[in-house]
Amino acid sequence: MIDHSHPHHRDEPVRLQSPMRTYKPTDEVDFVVVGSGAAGGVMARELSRNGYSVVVLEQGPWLNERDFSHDEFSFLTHPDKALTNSRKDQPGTRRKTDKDEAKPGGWNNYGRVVGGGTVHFTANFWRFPELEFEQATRFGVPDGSTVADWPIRYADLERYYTKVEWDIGVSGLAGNPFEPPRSKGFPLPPLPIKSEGVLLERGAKKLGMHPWPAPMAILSRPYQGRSGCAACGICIGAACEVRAKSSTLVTMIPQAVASGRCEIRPLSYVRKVETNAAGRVTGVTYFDKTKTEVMQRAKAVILSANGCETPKLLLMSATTAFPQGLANSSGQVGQNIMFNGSALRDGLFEHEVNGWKGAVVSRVVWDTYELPASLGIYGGGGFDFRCGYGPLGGDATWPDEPTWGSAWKKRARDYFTKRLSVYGHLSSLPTPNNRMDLDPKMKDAWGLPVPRLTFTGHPNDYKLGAWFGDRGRDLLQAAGAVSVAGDGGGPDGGGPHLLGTCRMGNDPRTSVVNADHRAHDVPNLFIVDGSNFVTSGRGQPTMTIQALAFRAADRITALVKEKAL
Amino acid sequence: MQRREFVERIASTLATTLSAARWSELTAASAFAAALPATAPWEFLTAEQARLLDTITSHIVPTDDTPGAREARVVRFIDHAFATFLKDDRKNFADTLDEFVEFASHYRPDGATFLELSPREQISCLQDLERIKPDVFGPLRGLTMLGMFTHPEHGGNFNKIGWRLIGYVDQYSWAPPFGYYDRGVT
Repeated sequence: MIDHSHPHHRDEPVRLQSPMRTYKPTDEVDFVVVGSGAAGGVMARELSRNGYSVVVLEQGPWLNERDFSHDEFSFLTHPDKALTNSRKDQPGTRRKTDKDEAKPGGWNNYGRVVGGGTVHFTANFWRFPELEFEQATRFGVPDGSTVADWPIRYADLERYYTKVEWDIGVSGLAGNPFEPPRSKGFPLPPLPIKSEGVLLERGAKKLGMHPWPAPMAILSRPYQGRSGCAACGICIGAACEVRAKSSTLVTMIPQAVASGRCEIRPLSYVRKVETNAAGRVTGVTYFDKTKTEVMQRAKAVILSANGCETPKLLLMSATTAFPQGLANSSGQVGQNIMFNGSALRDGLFEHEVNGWKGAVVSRVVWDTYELPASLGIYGGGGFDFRCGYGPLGGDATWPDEPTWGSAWKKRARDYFTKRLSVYGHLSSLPTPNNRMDLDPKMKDAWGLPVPRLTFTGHPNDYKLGAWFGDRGRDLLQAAGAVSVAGDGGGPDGGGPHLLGTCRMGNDPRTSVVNADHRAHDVPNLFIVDGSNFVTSGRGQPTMTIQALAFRAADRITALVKEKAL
Repeated sequence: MQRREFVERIASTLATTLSAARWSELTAASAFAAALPATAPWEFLTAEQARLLDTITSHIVPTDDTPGAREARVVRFIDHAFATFLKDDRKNFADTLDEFVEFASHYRPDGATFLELSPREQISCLQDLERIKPDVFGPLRGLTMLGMFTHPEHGGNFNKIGWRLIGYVDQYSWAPPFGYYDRGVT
C-alpha cells in the first residue's frame, strides 16, 4: 500500500529542503488548524510564519504532481487519488423541509486532499463587489430570507484580496468597470483568450455588455518558482501536473512547512473539538490513517474544514456545557446554508471551439452583478462561456438528434469540439429552512453521523435563475450559436460551494463568530472558511474565503500579541 | 446498490459516478487490453453474453467509414470492468441483460432472439428499447460510451479510436489558437 503520509512517498529524489517539523500529540501546540484547503492553507502559512507552532489536520492524503494524471476516470474515482470525498464512505442525507424524513443520496462535495478543493478547482478568482457586504441596508431583507449585512465591508478586505492575488498567484487585468476599487494590479497578465472567450466578447458586446479577461488563479507565466499554464487538455475537476494552478498545495502549504514550525498531518479525520470545564478548547480528537483515535493538544483551534464539515464537527462536539453543540448558543451553527445558484445553457457553433484545451475560463461578464430594480429580483451574478468536460464528455448528444448509431457518430466530433455552455454564476438567498445538521440515523465509514441537508430554494432564486437562463440564451444567440439547448437555471441544492453555516456577525444571538472569526461562545476557537459567509456572493467564493483567511490570521495574531486569548 | 442508482450512474457515463471499489485490481491490470490477443478468454462474460454485447455495442457505435465500438474493444472493456472495478454491480448488470433479452424476444411474433433478428430489425428493436425501456437502454449506451472514451489503459478505446472519433488529442501542452474563433486574436 502506498503511504500517503508524506509527499515524498515514492522513489523520487530527495529535495533540497529541510525536513518537516513534527509534533507529538501530547505537545500543546499554539494552533491546530482543521483542514488544509483554501482557508486552512493560508492560516497554516500565516500563523507559522508569524512564529507560532501549527499542526494542520487534513482528512485526505498528501499527493503531489507525480500522483496526478490525465486519466479522468482515475482522478475522479480512485480511492487513493480521487480529489474529493467519496459518496460511498462519506454520504449524506437530504430533505426539503423539517416535515420530511431525510433520505440518503445527498453528497456534500468537497476537496479531500492536502490543498482541499483548491487542488481541483476551476480557479475563477472574482472579488466580491462592495454591495455584497451591505445588501440588507442597500436592498432590504426579502420575505422568507435571513439576509443580513456582513460585520465587515469591502474596504476591510481590499488589501487582503490584493494579498491573495500576489501571494497565491492570480492572472488577470485590472480595469473591469464592474470590479470594486483595487489598490494594485494583478501580478500576472491574463491567460490567453480562447475561442469561448472570443465568442462571449462577440455576444456580450452585441448586447451592450462589457466582457473582460477573467481573473484566474492559474499562472499565465512562471511565478514564484512555479510553471506557467501549459494549456493541457484536462483542467476542470483535475489537479495540475505542472503546478500552474495556484492551489494551497503548491503555494501556502510548502511555505508553511518551510517555516520550520508547521506540521501537515494528512489522513487525519477530526471527530471532536475538546473543551475543558472552563469552556475553553484544549485540542481536537481525530482518527488517524488506521482509524485509531488520537488527541492533539493545542492552545487554540482553527476550523477551516468547509461549510459542511465545520458545522458537522461543532455539532459532534456537544458536551454537557454545550448541549446544542460547540459555539452554538445562538442555534446558528449549520443554519443559512447557501450553494450559489446557476444557469446553464449549451450552444453549438459552426466551427471548432475546442474548449477542452487550456484553463476553463478566459472571459467573464459582470454587467449583471446588480439587476435593474424594476425586475423585482433580488441578487445577481456573472457569466462565462466554457466547455466543462474532458474526453469522457465525448458521449454528448443534442436535443432532437440521434443519440447513437451512424447518425450520432457523424455528429459526435461536432458535439465535442463545437459545443460550449454559457454558465451564469448566481447569488442565493439564505433562509430559515435551509441548513446542515447531523443525521439522526445514518453513519459514515468511521461511524460518525453523516451531514443532513434540509434545503428548499427560495422562490426569488428560481426567478433569478430563469432570468439568467434567458440572458444566457441571448448571449449564445448573439455570439452566433447555430443551435441553443437547455432550459434556464435556479438555486443549486448541493455542490462544492458550501457556504453560510457559521455566519459572522456582531450579535452573538444571530451569528456564530465575530468579525475576528472568533467563536462568540469560546474564546480560543476560531472558524475561518466559507461557513463564515453572511451572503453567498455572485458565485466563485474561493477568492473571498482566502481574503478572509489572510485577514483572520492578522486579527488572530494581534489578539495573541494583546494577550487576549 | 439499488438498481435505480446503477441505471443513473452508468447511464450518465460521468466518471464521477462510477464505482471505485475494486480500484487496485483495475490498476494492477492497467494497459492489459493492448497486450491481449483478440481471442483471449473472457474474464467475466459468458461467450453468449459477449456475442450479444458485441452486437448491441456495434449498433450503438457502428463500424462505418470509421472504426466503431468493435475496433475500440468496447466489449473487452465491459468484461474487464465487471471482472474488476464494477464487480459490485454484477447483479444489476445481469438484471439489465435479462430484461434486454426478454424485451428483444417480443420484437418478432415468432419469438426470435436478438441475435436471430436481421441487422435492420436489431436497430429497430434498439430504437424501441430506447423509447420504451430507457432504464435498460441507458446503461448499455453508457457502458459503450465509457468503453469508447476512457483512457485506453482501462481496456477500451483501443488505439485511441474513441478519442480520434471526437477529435480529442491527449497532448500535454497546447498553444493558441485553440479553436477557430481565437485565430489571429491576441
